[in-house]
Amino acid sequence: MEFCILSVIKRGESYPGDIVDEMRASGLQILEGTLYPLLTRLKNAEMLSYRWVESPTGPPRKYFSLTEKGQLFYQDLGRTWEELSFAVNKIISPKPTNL
Amino acid sequence: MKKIITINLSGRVLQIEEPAYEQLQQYIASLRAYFSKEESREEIINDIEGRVAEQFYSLIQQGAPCITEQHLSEIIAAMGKPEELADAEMAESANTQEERPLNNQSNPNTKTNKREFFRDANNKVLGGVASGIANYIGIDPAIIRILLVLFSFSSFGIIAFGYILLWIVIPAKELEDYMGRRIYRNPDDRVFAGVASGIAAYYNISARNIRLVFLAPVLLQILFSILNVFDDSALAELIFNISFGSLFGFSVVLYIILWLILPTAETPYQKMEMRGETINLEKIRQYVSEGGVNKKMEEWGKDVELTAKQLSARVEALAMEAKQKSSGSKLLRIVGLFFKVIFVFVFGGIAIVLLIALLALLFGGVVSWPLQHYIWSSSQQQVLAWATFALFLLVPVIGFIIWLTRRLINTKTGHTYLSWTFGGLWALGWVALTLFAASISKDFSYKSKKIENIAMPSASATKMLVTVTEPELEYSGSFSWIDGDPTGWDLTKDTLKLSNILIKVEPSGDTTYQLQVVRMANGKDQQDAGDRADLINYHVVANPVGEQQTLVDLGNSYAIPAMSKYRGQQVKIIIRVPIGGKINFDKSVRSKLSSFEIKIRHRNDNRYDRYDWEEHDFRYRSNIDYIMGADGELKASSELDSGGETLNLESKPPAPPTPDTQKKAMLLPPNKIYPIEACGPSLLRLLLR
Repeated sequence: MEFCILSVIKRGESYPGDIVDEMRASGLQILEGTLYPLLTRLKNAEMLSYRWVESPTGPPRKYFSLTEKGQLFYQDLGRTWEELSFAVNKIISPKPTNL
Repeated sequence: MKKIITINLSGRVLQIEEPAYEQLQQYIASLRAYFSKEESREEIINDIEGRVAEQFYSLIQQGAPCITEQHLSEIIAAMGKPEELADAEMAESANTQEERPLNNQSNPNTKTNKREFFRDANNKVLGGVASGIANYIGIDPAIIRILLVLFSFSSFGIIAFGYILLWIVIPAKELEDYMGRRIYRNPDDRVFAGVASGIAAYYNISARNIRLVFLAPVLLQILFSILNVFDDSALAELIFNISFGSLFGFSVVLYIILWLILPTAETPYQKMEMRGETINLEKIRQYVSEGGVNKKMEEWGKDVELTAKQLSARVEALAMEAKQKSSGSKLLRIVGLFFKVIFVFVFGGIAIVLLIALLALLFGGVVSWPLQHYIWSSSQQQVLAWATFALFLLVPVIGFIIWLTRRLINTKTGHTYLSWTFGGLWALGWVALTLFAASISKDFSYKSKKIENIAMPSASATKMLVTVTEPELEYSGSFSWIDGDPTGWDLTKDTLKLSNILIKVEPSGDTTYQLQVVRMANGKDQQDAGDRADLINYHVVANPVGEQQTLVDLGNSYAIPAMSKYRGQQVKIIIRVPIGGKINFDKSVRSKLSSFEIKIRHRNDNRYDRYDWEEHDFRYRSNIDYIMGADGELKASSELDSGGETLNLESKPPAPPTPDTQKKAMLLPPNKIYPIEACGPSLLRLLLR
């Protein structure tokens, strides 16, 4: 989930509403309630930074972006994800049984 | 019809239906509780509030006139309720293979299905045992603490010992804060202080039932006092005293203690905690209706088994560890633990002593009730006595219990007024005690002796027989339920009778026997003391037996009327025997005229051994002729010839005969109040029986 959030943010500064919409659009149902603590934790861990951006409808919103540390962490996560998905794919795909 | 209110949520002005607003508040509060462990909780809550406000705003943009409960529940569904968040987080943490370095939260162990018993390192007073237990069975730690305190009062240290054992054996762990219902006093639904309805809210039952439990002893007492008016039998009194007297006191004291210990649910969040709404009522209802309770009890039973096994393993491990390690830090810890243990024992000891004193006073109050007529001589003194009892004795005991319990359940002391109140009341108690003591001791400041000469029937008698023909004095009321000595005293509403009559034998100045009854009493002045001495009712009759003998029949007790109060009244018989004259004490003198305080029960033969009597005042053997010697000492006639030892061991040299044998008041130094020494402690002992 962190990976998904970071991916969305990596594509460009986003505010939580966007992230939720985008994840829902790609079929991932998440509870918004889990998003905020996660963002705050990532921010506290200096993976994310945010700035206040005026919104068209009311008070300013928090727009999050990746920090350098966040970039590195994202790459780590990406690598882990690739390894994992590779491994999982390998397991679920029919195995050659000649060994 | 629903009221619509305007709120400002994260800088947006919004119209919202009132029920929806309340729901929103509860939701935010529940999130706040859920994120309580989060470092930046407020920030998260602000973000969520902002997001909710934004969604509200867009709803209104789309044409909704105001925010309804329907809207809100949709938004909450999208946002997630705390328990859903917990599930999601757990699922995620289970999926994540690697450790999550970002998660500041210590992995909460309570969310796993199998709970383990740990001491709570986060929320502890001494060792965190109570909150560990509460965490394990999932109730408010305050309850466990209150129970622990109450039981350690009554169990004489067994609980304290168990606590220390658990403290040593159980490992500590940082456990999550308790999230469920908490016991509060309910300020919204109260008769006195909301204790009953607070408890009712905790157990989710009707407040009326709890109130009934508290009230039942009170009602029964009222019923019984009404019945007592018609039927003043000993049985009714007995039943009342045993069952409802103490229950009544217990329920009142318990209520007051709970009143002072339990915090009031003031904020909406506390009220929700009280009703357990933070954990979602719907969920509880489901849980109960699906038979989750039974299942849980089964699980719990298994858990207990498992825990027991783990415990024994843990003890073994600890013992092994202790054998292997003996480093300095370990030693320090042991020393620290040692001091803690001592602290607990000292603390517990003080608490137990105070509680016993309180119980003794409450119970003794019932027993000694008839005595009240004999204690204070004015209504002013009576008020002072009660003020002393309540303020000087009760206040610190209750205060201490409350302080201890509040400490133990970690109640925020927003109540400095409480300590001020208790301090002030206690100070008043000191004043009352001082005034009472001064007032009472003033009543003892003068002593008067009234001497009555009993006419001798025959001037030529050579032998005196002393006997008591009246039956031994016994208590006429019903104290049978007290394992006490019912002889030697009697107490009714208007008379106090005592049988501790002093007998003194002196040589007479001439050849005749003389007999004097000395009535002694204390008073606030000479007149007062003299009047009081005159009111002592005691009879002695001297009859001739043949030519040579005089039979002296002593009354079995002296009576003090209630109106004259008990102020050290005492009766002394002075027998003056001419030199060479004989005297013989019947054994009834020894057996009937003993005072109750000098009877010592010997367990071996279950008889009353009156050694005190023999050692100090009355050392003459029964049914033996004594002869007054020239030195003023009585000698047993059988031993006189052989020049045997003196049996009269009376320490004081015989006083010279008072020349004035008229009834006369004599002023003694105010500090000499020896009759009290004889009776005072025994009365006290009686009170405390």
